[in-house]
Amino acid sequence: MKIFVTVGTTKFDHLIKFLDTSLDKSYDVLFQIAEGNYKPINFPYIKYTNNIKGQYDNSDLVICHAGAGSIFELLSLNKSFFAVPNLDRVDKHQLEICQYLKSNNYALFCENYDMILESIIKLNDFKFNKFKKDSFFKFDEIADIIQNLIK
Amino acid sequence: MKDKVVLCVYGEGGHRAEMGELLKSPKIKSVLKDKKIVSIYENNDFLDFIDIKYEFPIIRSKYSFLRTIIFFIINLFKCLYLIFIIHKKYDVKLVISTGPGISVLPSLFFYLNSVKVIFIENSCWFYKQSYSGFFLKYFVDYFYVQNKELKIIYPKSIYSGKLL
Repeated sequence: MKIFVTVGTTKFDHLIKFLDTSLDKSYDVLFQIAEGNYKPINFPYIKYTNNIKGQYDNSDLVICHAGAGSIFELLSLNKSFFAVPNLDRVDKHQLEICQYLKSNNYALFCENYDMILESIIKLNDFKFNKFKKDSFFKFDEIADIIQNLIK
Repeated sequence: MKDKVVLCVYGEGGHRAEMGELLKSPKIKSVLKDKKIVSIYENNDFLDFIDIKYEFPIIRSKYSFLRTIIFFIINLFKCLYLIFIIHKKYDVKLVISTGPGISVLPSLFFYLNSVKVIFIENSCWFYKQSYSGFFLKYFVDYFYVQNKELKIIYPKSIYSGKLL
């Protein structure tokens, strides 16, 4: 199984360290660690990628921090993923989007790291609702505001 | 005579991605064609298609309250200085932000200088107010939310759908 782990632009050392030392070596894992201090020793890693969609496409499972950018792109792609809130941050705001995922049954929200390992084994048992994106529809309104102010 | 500009404040990460989506829309691209855009970002995470960029120093640590207090004391005046430079150099006609913490000072400053301000709350918020939304809700002209759930806590906001 190909697993891609991504933390977006904010370091999430606890998650990377846990997965690097806990995931079965038979998995094909790639970590994206941003500016994290912990460097994986058991699997390859990259700091960032210019082709995140390519990495998603190339993976059977994505394990990601619960950042809006990552979550909504994965939902739009209808990709299997586990969201892990980055509680290393002081603001804990990633719990918001996790609550949204859970209440709408869009993806698995892993409240603790051990849950990730248990859930990988049961990956095929999960059935999630399909996400329908309500796309931004205020472009024209904002364009009119800009046009009226900068003539 | 100073150039008329739109000031885009997007911080980093998801905020930057949302601003990118907004500015890439054909309608907005067409009205901004041949116009100058000035941007404020942080942490070396910028939109490279915007020519004029100002990097704000970090005023909030994501990992420590103590560091936030220290960064805030050290960098508050640097931020105010950069805002003053932008104000002096350009005729800012509109501020657009996608909700980062660093949008509070420039939005407030320009709003108090009679400049129109658009605030788009980041799509990661559903059930609570962000710090920037909490502070800025009274000091912006247009307050957009990307999640319908937020209409409950921001009744006067405008629902916009999601940028990402």
